[in-house]
Amino acid sequence: MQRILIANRGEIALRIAKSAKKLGMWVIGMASEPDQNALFTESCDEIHLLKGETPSETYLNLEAIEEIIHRSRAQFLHPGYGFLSERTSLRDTCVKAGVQFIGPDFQALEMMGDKITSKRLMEEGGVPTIPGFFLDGMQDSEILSQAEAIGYPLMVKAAAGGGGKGMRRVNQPGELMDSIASCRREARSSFGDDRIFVEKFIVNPRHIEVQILGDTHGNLIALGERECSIQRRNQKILEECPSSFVDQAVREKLCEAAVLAGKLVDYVSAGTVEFVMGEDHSFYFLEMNTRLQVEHPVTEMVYGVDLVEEQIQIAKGYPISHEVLEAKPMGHAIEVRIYAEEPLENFMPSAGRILSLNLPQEDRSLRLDNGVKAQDEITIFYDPMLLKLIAWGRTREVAVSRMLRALEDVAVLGIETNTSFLKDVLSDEAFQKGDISTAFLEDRDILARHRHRLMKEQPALKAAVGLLWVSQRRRPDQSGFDVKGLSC
Amino acid sequence: MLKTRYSFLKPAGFEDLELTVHICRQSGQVRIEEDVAALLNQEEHQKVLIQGNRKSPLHAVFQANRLYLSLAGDHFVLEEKPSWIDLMEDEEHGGEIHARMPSKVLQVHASKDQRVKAGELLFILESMKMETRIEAPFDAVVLEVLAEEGQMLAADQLMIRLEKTE
Repeated sequence: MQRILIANRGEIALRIAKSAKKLGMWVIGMASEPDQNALFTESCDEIHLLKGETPSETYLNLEAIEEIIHRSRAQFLHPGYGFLSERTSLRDTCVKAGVQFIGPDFQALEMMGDKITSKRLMEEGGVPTIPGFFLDGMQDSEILSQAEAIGYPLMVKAAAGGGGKGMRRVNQPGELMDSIASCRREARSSFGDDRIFVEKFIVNPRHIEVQILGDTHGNLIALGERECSIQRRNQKILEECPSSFVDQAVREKLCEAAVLAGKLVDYVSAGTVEFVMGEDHSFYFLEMNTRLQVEHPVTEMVYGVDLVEEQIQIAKGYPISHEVLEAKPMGHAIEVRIYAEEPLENFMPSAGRILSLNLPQEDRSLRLDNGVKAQDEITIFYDPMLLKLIAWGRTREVAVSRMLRALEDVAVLGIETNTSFLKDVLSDEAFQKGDISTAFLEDRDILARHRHRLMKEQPALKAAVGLLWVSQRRRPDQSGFDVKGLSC
Repeated sequence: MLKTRYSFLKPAGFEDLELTVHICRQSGQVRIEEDVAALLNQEEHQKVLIQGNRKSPLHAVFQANRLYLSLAGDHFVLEEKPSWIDLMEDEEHGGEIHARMPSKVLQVHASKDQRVKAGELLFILESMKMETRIEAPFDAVVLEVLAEEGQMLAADQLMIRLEKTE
């Protein structure tokens, strides 16, 4: 049996284990101390303990992972997403240990790991990039004239930035030099790297990305786009495939650009090319994620493919399967990410024990990628994403309704989640019309709508509490309440 | 009618709200106030709150005096305001007082057929080394006293039955 090591945790470790088992592989997992009894460990054939709690002691600890690679005699390593998945160091460790890394080659990881290098490479290769320039050794007057040539508003960004950090919008020439100076300071203290660039600011931008898949036989294909504009704190919370904003002509151009981007780094395995798209459908390369993406299931639902299975087979040296090469999209899929967080407290992560967990039933139109179970302790050590729900429908409208129904069946008691908030996103009129951008939550003030709706639920809540009270406390002979006709 | 009061622990920002639930008995059915008439049904081992045409999946966990509740995906955490007794009241006729938690009867100030005014002392109870006065909720005639001095009451044990007077 071929042995595969999953260097990750939570729902993605479980999801990878599923495909590996389908391929008849022996699944080896690793778990930190708080994760010892986590749901994903149950899906592994063997588990190796990572001593410690914090990510740097455990899932980011290259030495410990190397030791597990040797001890477990793994032949393949799947890095999942996050943690070390995009680090060349993990790939190097695998090569050194004689283990096949499931992901792209060193060159792709290295080039795409740096925003400036990747943008320059794309620019030279003919992939559309946002007009902009780097500030290396430029005089103020030169900066101002170049900025003028692009036109305001502009964005000042740190080369090493990410997750919304080290970014500033500049509306007019008077603000430019000050913004550059403060961005430089922040970049130096946050990332230890004060290289700065300036680029065009896209008004009402959408975040649209393309799934690509390459093998070692020269095949490199695109599997359509994903719409990922709904974000809070620059993190995606809801993704769709396809984007209702993209028609066939635009899709072809997007896919062509994504395949070109992949070819520029001889991309192998599954990857994602992220673009920002303006109101006029013009799109520009943002970055490339050299790994499996959190939101890959929407593509899988619509194209009827298993991307992890393809990744593994590609790592074994096989070409992309015939079914995937010929895959045609059908219907519409939406994914929501259930986070342990409090939307009404600025989406602050919520830690604690899950006292009780109810999730909707999976069926043809609903997929569940879950990483938690009742009695789990949700700690502050790791990403607060608990699980994902993916709804499929023949049309976007059907997928939205299916998801709304599914969310009604989600009950994570004991900690706070964004489940209820997601209902307000999906019920929003503008969302249902597909009228969205990366500023959707603020533009539509979804938080205020959410709070308002919860306030209006008080009568229903009263009824629920009363009936629960009666059902819990009834003493047929004493209480005087006749609860016949009610099964509680 | 039974009155039970809750404060909101979650969602954030709801802390100042209070939820008072009145539970009444009416023609053999439990009703939760007129305006929020609802039924609790079990569909495939799942609780469902039915209000008119609306069906909401309901999940709940009681933990001490906390109630974690998910109603159609909306999550609330409520805390029941502490109370020594439950008053089960019938709008027209009268009511019963039940001990809410195990407690000891220190003093009994009511006897059968006695007329009491609202606020008049009926019992003094002790629980967890704390004492409290249990007073008449309305003007009434005592139908029956079921608690004796020195007695240990179990949770939910009936203490007194009252009939309303005009």
